[in-house]
Amino acid sequence: MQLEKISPEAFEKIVDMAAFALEAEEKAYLLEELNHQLQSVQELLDIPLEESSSSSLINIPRVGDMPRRDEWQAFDVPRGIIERAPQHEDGMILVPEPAGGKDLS
Amino acid sequence: MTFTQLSAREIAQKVQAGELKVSDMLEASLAQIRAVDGDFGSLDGQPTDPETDKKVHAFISLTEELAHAQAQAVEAKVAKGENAGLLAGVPVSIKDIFALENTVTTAASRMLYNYRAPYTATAVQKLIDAGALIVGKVNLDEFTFGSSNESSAYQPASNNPWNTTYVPGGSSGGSAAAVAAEETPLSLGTDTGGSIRQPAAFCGVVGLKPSYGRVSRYGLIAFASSLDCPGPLARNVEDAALILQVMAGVDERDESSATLPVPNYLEALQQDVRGMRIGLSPDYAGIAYPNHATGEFEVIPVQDEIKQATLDAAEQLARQGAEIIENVPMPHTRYGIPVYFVVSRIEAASNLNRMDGVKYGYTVADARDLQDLYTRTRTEGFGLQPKLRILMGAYLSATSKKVNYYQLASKVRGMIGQDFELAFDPKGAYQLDALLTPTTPTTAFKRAEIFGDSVLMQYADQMTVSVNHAGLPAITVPAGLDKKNLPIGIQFIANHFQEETILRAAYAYEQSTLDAAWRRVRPMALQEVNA
Amino acid sequence: MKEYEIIVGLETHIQLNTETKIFCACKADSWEAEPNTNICPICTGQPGVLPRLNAEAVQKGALLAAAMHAEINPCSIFDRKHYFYPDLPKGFQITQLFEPIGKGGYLDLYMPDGEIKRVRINKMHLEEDAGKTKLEHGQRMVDLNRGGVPLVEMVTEPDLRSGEEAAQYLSQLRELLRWIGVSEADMERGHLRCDANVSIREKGSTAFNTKTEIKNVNSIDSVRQAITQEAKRQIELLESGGKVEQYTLDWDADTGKLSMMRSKEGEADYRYFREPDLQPVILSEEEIEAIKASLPELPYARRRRFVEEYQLSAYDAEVLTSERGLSDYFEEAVALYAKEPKTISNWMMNDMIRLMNDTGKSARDLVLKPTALVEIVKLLDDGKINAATGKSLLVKVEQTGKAPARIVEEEGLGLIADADSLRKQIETVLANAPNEVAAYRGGKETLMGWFVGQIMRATGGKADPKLTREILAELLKE
Repeated sequence: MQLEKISPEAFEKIVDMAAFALEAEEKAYLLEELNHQLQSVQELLDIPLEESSSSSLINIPRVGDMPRRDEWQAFDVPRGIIERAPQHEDGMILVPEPAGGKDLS
Repeated sequence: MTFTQLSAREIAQKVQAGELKVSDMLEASLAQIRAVDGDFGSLDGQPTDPETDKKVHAFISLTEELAHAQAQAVEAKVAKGENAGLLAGVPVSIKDIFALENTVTTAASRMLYNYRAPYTATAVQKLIDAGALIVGKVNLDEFTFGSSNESSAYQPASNNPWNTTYVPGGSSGGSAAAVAAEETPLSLGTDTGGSIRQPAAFCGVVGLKPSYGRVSRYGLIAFASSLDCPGPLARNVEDAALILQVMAGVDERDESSATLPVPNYLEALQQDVRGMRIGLSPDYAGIAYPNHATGEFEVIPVQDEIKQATLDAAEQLARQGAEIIENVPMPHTRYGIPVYFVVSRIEAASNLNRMDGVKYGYTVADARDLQDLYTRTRTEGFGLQPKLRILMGAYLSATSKKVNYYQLASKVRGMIGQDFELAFDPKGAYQLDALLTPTTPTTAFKRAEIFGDSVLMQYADQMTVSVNHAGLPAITVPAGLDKKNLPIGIQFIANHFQEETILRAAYAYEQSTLDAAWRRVRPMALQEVNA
Repeated sequence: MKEYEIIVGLETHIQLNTETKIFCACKADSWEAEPNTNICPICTGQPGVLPRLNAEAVQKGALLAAAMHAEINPCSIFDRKHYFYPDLPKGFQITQLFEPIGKGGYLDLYMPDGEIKRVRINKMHLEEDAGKTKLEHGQRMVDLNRGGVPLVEMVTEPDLRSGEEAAQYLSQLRELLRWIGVSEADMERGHLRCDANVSIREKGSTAFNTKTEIKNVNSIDSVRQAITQEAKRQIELLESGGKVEQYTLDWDADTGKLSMMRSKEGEADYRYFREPDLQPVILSEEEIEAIKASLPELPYARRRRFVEEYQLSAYDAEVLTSERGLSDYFEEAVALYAKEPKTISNWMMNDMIRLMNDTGKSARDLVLKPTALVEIVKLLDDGKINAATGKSLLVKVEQTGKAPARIVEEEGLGLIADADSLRKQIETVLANAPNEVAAYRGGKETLMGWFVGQIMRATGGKADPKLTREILAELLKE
């Protein structure tokens, strides 16, 4: 089977997705390692899966079942959380504007 | 014998009996750290010269004030004749991946260099409540991403106390080093693919990975949420049982924590192994590793001495009445690493999406705009290994891909779990109580030997990772030294929530080898101090 | 000009009225709270925290699914949706993609012309809300109070055909949400938010053309206006040879204008995958049946029944079913009264609604319970009080909480129905009006009304009118 490789374009896309700006040397190392890892990952494609193999979703061991009761419990130092923000003022976290007003969401 | 050589159980008993002052115990632990640890890891630090550096460098920071306060509280309880807890006066180090309120929790990353957690992890709180003294935070691979400690942003990273030119393993390398170097008798680590067991094996200590759900994950900075497990590193099996006793149990803050009752692990140790069915599997005789030069998979056999130690252990247990079942097939073991590449990377990339320079931790002050803030924060804040993991995760989870790798890997993960189900099935062909395997394919490797080869580094976890996929409990115990005087570890694996079984097996093995010559050899880093 | 048809689909975000947020124990409602005071390590995405699902949010989500005739998923699963934005502390939103709480479903719209229009639901899932950012003095600020509030996102199929239909949908959805008690659905407070997808096509065509998405149409008027305006723009564009492009538009309710936010550049890759920190949400058959059984009779069914069962006018039935508490109140009173339901309906439509308006209370919150209302109506029926007293009793019961009969007794509000004492008072009135008596006896019988008035004045309105006329007639005969 032809093994999939990460093209430089696809690599740029995921670097962008991860919000990284990489040096050429880092890029070379990372892309090479990613392709080596991907080679290993593609071993999975050759495994004959039984039809009955349950969907991905139940394989985390299920143990507890404790629905949380809908009861309010205030956290005692909300202010402390905001004070951990690198930029904050009067209880608000400050952030720069998106470039060109572009909404990232 | 100095205080630092006492087991946790002995310390707690002596403290409770008034035979050992908590402040003396704490001072002894801090003195040992001063004697053997050398420079703590720091962001400005450099890896030291392996030829001249004989120090352990297990720690990133001490929490002396906290430890003193806890010591006083324990002292006061003892003075009043109250029960001061199962871990009364026991110094414990914490892998710097657990939140501890108002102390800096770095995850060994620049990204969290100044992050003071606003809350305390459940496991850590339980230790404190049981009378433990939290003496400090120990080093790890950055965000736990590694098997050697070398990827820590806090240098010098930990050395292997047995030979400081070797790595202590990872990611709980600081924990293993601290315990092996008698800095603390116990350390709290985490295990996602082998991160407790591999360093414990490399450093000649006991490492216990409990069942997924046995110990709360709340406050553990997540690597791969469906695999992560907090667990102890200890110098003997009894201490591992003791600290598990303290940490195990349901936590209303962790939906995946088990509602099952917690058995008495210390009592379980008293039962022998007569009639216990212990399996050996040919699928743990080597690791299947893709040679990316040839594109072929090669099987690299387990180091001879480790193989021999595993067989010797089986023999020891057989002599005590255990039944050894050979040739138990575990055919999906070889897929453990490919599955791990998918599941752990996708979850890790997701968990680290919150590191954006807005709410806490590293940031850039002069960002041009929001995107610039994100990009520069994440580029400067993450080291190379986290970047690699995030990119792999992003690539494999991209919705645009034809293959849903997470689902595919989760299915194969289920098949890995079935191997164990069949082996442990009480009505099946094997009816095992425990599986006995090597913990690692080799003993500790030299620093810089394989660092950078992310694939080979990962394949070193092949003996341990299946257990994480299946959510099972496993323990590694020291089982000798190789020719280079590096520790060998063997691993016992049991069915879900059968921690008692592996503790019993490991304890029986440990007790039967107490007189072995190798147990009298001291780690190199300790040979000059209190020898 | 060709004939066009407008195609509209609505995407709504419904804030569930739970006590706490969906994954932590912070209060769900932060109305009027200072920014960033209703937060904790979990809803601010601190490293190491874990979500804990609020069982009530599941119950309310499932109840909404039942009300929408959707299939309640016996095993729904949460997923992570990844993107970076300062109001999203974890860098992902916990939502449901592959196995949502509800599947399918529809809402039947009762149009003003009596027609029933079925609007199908394309998807319905539980998720957490993001925080808010605001711009002040050129500085972007983040408030995370709203982060983690439980939402149901519900998206319709493109089944709506005008701004008016969309407005009807939103209005009837809002009514339904309040009726079944899952959301306050206060649009001004953002409990019910709406985006609209709009496209047009030639009448008779079945194709779907490029659509635009209008964000923030957060009132019923806005929905109507924005869609109508956007459809008009698209038609004019096509007529003049242009082409509709896939824009996202922003609706400014103050100016009533649409503006372009951005063009859609390919779908973002949200890297959805299952949320590993949360267990699948398992609802047993029994639990699902219990949820369905707890679904109250819905407004339109009840409206129809009121007309048929109680012979109310369509208008009265609509008013009395405009709110669930009000209609429950009415039915309770009817059941206690056991006579003409119309009598109760008249009281409800006039005096009771006025009382609720004046006190600012809903039917459920009134001190005056249906038992008291029925007692007052019966006092009136039995001639023990007059109509004016009846009306004033409503207010007095509401204020004091005392039983109507007790107030009547304490304040002496009962009618004088004792013939002897009334006869004495009438004799006195007649003795003081010899001229009028003479005139009456002389044939001016229209003075009867004047005499009654005099007696009412003398008794402070408490004379039983029927008895008064009888005695007057007898005395004046002499």
